[in-house]
Amino acid sequence: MAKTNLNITDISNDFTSNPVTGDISIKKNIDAIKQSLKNLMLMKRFDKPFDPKIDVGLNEVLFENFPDPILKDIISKKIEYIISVYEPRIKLQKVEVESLYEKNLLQIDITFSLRNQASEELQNLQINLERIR
Amino acid sequence: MKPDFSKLDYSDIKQNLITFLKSQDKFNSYNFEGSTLNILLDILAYNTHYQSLYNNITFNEAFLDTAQKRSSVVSIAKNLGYTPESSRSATCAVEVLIDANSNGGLSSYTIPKNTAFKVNKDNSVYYFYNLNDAVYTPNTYNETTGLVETYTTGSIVLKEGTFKTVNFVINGSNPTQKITLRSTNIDTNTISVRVQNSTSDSSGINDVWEEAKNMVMVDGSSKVYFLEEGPDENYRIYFGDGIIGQSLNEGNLVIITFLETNGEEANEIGVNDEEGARVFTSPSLPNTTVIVRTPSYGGSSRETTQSIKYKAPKAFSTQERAVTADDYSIVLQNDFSFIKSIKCWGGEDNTPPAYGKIFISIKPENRAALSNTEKNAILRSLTKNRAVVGIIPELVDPNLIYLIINCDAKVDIIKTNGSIESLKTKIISAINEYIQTNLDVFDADLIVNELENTIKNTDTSLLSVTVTPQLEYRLTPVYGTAVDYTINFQNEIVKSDSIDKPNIKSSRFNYYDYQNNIRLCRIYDNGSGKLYLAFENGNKEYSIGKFSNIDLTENAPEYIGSIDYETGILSLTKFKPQINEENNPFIKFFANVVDSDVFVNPDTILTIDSDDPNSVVINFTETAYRKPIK
Repeated sequence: MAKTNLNITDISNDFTSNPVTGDISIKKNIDAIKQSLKNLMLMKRFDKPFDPKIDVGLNEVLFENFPDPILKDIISKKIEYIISVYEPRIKLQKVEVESLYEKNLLQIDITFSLRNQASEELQNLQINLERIR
Repeated sequence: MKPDFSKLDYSDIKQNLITFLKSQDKFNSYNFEGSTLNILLDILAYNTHYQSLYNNITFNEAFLDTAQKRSSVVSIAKNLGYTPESSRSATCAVEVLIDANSNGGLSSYTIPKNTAFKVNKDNSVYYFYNLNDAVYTPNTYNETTGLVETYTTGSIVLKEGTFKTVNFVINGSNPTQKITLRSTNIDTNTISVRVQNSTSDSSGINDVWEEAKNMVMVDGSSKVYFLEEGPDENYRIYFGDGIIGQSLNEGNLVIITFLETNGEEANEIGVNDEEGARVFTSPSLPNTTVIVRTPSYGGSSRETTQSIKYKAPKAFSTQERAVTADDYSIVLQNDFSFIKSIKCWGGEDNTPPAYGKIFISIKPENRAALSNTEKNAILRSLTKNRAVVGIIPELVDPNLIYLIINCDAKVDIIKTNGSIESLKTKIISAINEYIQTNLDVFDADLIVNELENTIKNTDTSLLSVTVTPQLEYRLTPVYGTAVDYTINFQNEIVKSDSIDKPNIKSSRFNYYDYQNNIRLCRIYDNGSGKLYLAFENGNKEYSIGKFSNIDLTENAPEYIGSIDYETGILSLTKFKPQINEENNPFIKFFANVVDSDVFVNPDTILTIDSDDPNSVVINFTETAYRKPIK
């Protein structure tokens, strides 16, 4: 299959307007992909109507026991499954879940490349789960 | 892009939106589940799906055919002028006797209405009330003094339930207010409405207010109330507006009394009532004897939603008038909940024709025929300005043919765990339930294949089931009088080639033999179209035909009639039985029929006597069935 240049457009999650045109702001290319990935990571079971299989629900992890090695493995497996099924535009390289005890922080690093694109540069999405108050 | 509005499933709606977005090139992430645009499509599709489902339910509930909620069905029925039937109190008739000299003599010659009568059934206490005053009249006199010894009320009607009263003061600011009777087991036939001027002024309390069922006679001065079932399943009462029905004024006190009933639980009370074991007592009537004249009947639950859907359009078409034969069926079914099946036909269709009459045949629930009290109540109901003038209704008992079910069952003995008796009980119960559910009404025939499947499904140990039905007709003759009778089995009867293999057999009864001695005998067929008597002597049965093998002639003393095997009609000639051995009012005739499927005429009911231990005969063939090992 011939590789194409990146041309991905999506609307922005924050629904802000473009200050010049007044139109809704747009996410493009790798930003749109990362936004999509983040949406998937935060999606809980039944958030998607009639499709309960989409279930990573990272924000629910906040209420689990923190230093739990099994939990880290479960999160990795879930992320790998969801990306393989629901985000066919990327090729997952690795998922790293790290517990930073001193900061009460769960750091999730997703490394991926884009499929069928001219550039095969590795991309990284980092999601940090920490208490805010 | 042309949207497809016929598809209302969530996935189809979302696909419609995606197809729409394909026609533009500004956004292209709509097809990936994580994209924000896709999430937006989820919301839009979900909203559309929700709305379409809501609309679907709304429109379904707007029509009688598709409505599911009781409140919707009741509301539509209201437009058809139909009020759903409430629970009905069981009714019984009793006679109250009192000794004239007991307890210093009678204090009052009247038993006031709403006097309680107490009775126990299955460890529960039930109360019955007389809804009208009952008056004592002299019953027996002392032959010496000529003074009255006992007084009787005669037969008085009692209704089961608990009396409830609702008081309501009319608020003038809301003239159309409705009074809710908060009871799900109310019997609306027992509602009594009185209106007095105010809480302190009792004038008007004795006026009778009646339920308005027919608007023709109602005007602005008619003391009527209107009854309807509300959306909360409680009945509501409201009054007229001064044009249709008299209106009430601010401050009027409405007093409503009614019976809250236990429905069918209170049926068949008083069946075992006998001297020395009276079932009814009345706490407020000491020293009285309460004799049951008619055991309680007719108690029932409130009308089901399905029944409302069925009856409301039919009630609308009859308009509370009994004109055609179907009208009679509908009007009576609305009035009497104990009717399981009903058949009405005009006198011109009767055999023999009886012009100017309507014949009504009713099969009540759990019984073979109506009691005389029930028949009188039905005839009274028809004469309430509803039947056509000049047409006389006549109640006839349904023509019943009883089934004797012979069941041959092959059983895997290993699967039964040796418990053949419990299997037998299950099969008998399944047969009785099948017949009670599918037959036991007019216009129903026995399809043996269905019954066999039902029996086979009762237990996995049953490998095969074969049912051979036999028919039983119960003839109630006039004992001691020679009368011609016709018994119609309505199905072809097996014709045998030998007199020793009869296919018609009767139960035993007494009959004068040709030497004028009363002897027990039965009736058989001879295989050649003739019926003969076979007298018993020393536990053996004898007849000219059977004993001496002489061809039976019509002049032979044992000849009693003929049989048409094809039509299944038996004609008994000058049949004069004496009271029969079992002291039953009827003589049973059994017939072996050619076809296992039994079809009967529209005026006949196929049923089973579940109290008769011989009504189901089961023959088991035991086998240890196992699948071969591959």
